[in-house]
Amino acid sequence: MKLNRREFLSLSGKSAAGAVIFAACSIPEKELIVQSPVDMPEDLVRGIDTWYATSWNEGASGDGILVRVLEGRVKKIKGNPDHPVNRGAARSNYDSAIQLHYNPDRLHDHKIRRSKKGILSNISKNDANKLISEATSKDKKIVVVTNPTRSTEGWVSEKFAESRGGRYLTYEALEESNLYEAIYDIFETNEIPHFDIGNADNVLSFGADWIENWISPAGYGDAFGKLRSGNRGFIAHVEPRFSLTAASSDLWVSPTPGKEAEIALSIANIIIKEKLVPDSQIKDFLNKFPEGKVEFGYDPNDVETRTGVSAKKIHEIAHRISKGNSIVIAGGSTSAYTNGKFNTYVAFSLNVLIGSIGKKGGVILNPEIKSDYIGGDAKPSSLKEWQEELAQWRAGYVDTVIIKGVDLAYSMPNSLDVRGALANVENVISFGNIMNETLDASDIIIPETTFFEEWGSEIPNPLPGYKTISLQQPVVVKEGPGASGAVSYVDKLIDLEPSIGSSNKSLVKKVFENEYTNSENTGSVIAKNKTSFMNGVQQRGGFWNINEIKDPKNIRLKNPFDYSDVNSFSETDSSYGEEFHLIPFTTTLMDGKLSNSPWAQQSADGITSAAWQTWVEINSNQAKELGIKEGDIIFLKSDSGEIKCLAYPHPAVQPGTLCVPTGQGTLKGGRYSSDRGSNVLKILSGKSDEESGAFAWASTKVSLKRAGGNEKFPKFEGNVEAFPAEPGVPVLVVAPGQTAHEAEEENHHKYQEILNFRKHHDEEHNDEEHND
Amino acid sequence: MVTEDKRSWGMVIDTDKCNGCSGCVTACQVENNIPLNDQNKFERGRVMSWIRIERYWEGEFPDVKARFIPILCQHCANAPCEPVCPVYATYHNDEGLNIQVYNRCVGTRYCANGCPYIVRFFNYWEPAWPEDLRNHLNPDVTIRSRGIMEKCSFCIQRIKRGSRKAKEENRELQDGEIKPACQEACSTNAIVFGDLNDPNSEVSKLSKSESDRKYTLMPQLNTDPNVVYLATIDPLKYKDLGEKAKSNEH
Repeated sequence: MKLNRREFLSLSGKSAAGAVIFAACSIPEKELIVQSPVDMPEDLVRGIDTWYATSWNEGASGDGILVRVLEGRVKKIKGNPDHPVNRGAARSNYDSAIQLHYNPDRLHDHKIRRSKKGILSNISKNDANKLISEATSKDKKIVVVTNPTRSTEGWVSEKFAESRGGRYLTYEALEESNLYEAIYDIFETNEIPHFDIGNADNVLSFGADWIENWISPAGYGDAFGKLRSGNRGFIAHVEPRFSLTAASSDLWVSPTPGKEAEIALSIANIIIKEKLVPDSQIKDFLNKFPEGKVEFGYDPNDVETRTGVSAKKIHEIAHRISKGNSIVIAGGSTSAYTNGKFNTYVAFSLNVLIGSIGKKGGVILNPEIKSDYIGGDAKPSSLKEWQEELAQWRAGYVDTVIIKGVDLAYSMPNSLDVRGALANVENVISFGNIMNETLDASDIIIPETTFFEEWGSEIPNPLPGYKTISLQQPVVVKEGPGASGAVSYVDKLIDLEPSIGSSNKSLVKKVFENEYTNSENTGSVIAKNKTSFMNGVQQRGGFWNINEIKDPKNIRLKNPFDYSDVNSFSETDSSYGEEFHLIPFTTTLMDGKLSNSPWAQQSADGITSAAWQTWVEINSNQAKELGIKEGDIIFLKSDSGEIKCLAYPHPAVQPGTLCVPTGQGTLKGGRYSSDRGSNVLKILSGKSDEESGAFAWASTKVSLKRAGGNEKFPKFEGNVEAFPAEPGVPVLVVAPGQTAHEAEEENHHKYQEILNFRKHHDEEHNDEEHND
Repeated sequence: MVTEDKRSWGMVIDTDKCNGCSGCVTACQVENNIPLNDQNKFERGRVMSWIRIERYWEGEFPDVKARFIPILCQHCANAPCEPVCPVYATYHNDEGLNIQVYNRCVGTRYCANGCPYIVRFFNYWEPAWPEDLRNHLNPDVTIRSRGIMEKCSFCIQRIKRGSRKAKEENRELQDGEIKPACQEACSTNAIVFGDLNDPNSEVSKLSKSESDRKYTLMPQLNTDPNVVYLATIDPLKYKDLGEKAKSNEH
């Protein structure tokens, strides 16, 4: 039987048995090839695309990216393989920035509030400029606030504040100023070191969720891949919360919150007692410790009782990190208790004991880069500094506040009452491209350009071990689709204070022209003149020089017990409900910055697979005891407020703790972020580290109450039907050296044993019933 | 590199390097104009995602582990989705790809029923983007209309673009030159794509090496997938550290 396509379709259309006929008739292969064209629509479209090298500016890591532009529109972002910070690796939320650029809620007009109790209304750019000039005149007391940054933008912010005799502050929601404090005290540098994870044999991290969101996740992702290649390194992670880093580690250790330093000291105790490292390293480590403190005060069995972490696990870690190239990292929640600096310092000091400083696969100190026209600080202002600053605002001592890149009103806890403070500032001028709570509390709103439209230069954080300056260049025109009316923050400040420079673009060029002059024909771009040099910088996405490094000094540790080790938590209302530790964490939405991007919203959380909502992670056994099921509406109350979220019980939550993501619950956002979830940042207690004044955002306790209702839990899990499967299916796990085939056989035998046991058990049970 | 008509595109995914970051999922959404998944779709189990990360739990606190595995169309040589399509909308091409021809699809969904990996998605609704967001749509990829089945194409638009470029430059396609969006976005290099018929390609070496960690999903079905997985290594697999905590202060 011979059919052509037309006859075949006709036949199958007439008969319900078409599919059966199709299967039986075996159409000649030749005809299939002719009639089933390889030319899908995908083969017919052929635009010419351009890839620009620039840097991702929604975080402070200064990652190098390549942006695909077609017909004047941004289409895609990927990591720049040439850039030394992330070496081509990407963050899961890079692309979400595109949706902020083309956001349907993007601001195009200047807005003004004529009285503090009035409403925001549109105003022409010219009229707004007049008002802004008056509000920022030389006689005004001015404060400039941005996100932490070391960039041209930071330099201009500093210069502008200086020109008005004002101050420049930075804010980060889950700030880590303790990290910088601890690093300075150990390494005498303001630069976070380069952690050479890719070349390490063993990594021990405390609190820092370096795989998902800590400091430079794209670069660390690349390093993780390298660590898991070849000789395959070992990762141990210490954190009460089960983060993606905990999930990807080989050994997760979950201590009682605030007790991380005890684990570190117990590891040191084993290494010292068992002499697992050379004597000279032990001597360097114990240099300033009170005599016998580590050797006798942190026996693993005692620490097990105090922290809930088994002595066996502490032993395992101690033995692992004493061998090969090992590295210890600390940050995140470890640095965010009232004893955060103590915890962080002690954890980092293990690097001295295991001798990892300045070595390949260890802690590589970064050079401190001085560059004209680059300013600001990667270290965020501490909570203590902010409390003092807000008191000034509240007292009416500040005339004008200029805010850029940070949503203060959203991300500060209720206890700081930042909205109350802003209400007492005569002129609040905010830059932004999508409405947020701070813009809503402002007197003048300036629609801002996105980083796709703007020049910039930034010192990445952390550096890759040597001097690097990332370039940001415009990849689309300012007045392109979605961007009309937008104003450059830097150009606006220059407009108000022309002595700073002539334009943002000229300042950025000057940064690299200086590099041309100083580089003496070494580094990533070698050119005959400044113009060619700048072309090279634009092609590569920045300038770096592997020869500009820092020599590790002779590190002499201080006595960490001089720091405050008071691990205190906020008070709770026992009449309200059960008491829990609250651990907030950031997801792809970051501190809400990306929450009006549908791609960021729909990016399912790695652990829970939840999206578009605020959930609370609770231990599944504890939830069962409390009668809490998935989707139950839960209220959490702290001394700073109350929020509502949906319960998600899972087995990897430490009993007694609750974990809630940031990013949702804005009171004033766009269509994708408004009226959605709750803002956990609001209920964080205003506690701080007594030593450093850093925000102790992991020192909040909450009371939990069930509201009585249940909602459908928005998660990806369950979209695909789960089939009963043998162990190891579909994720097969092998021991080192074991083949997949051997593991499959082993799993199969185990499974058969289980089935036989069940069968035997059922038979016995049936016999018993029969005998009864 | 073997000639075009003898290629067999395939992928190796090292689950030991997958950290569940979902970078591949978002990159695929962006590259392939996959409709936005709003909250309602998550609540109703109608999320469209050509590649997904599945997470599996092992054990109880404190000795608990999560295992991640990215799952996408396996581009099976014996694909159960192909013979059931009455209109040849899905077929196997001579480069080893399981192709979905959108303008042939009449939406019977037989292919989705036949696919054991559940990686085919049906457009129950006309996909919609607000006007501003349409600016970021990828012109290389068709927007699928209501009533059409869709699934991972191994980023065929990139394969075509890369092959054409090599042909224009009168040279052979190099191994690693073509990267699907998921591979490009994978920060840990857990995903490797290439020609399985090229004995020198990385994907070929990884998938054919004898004493290693390779396995395929549901081998009992004999679908002969072009996606090969490498098993997760657990250095503590046979080590008992499971002594439960004696007390836990809170």
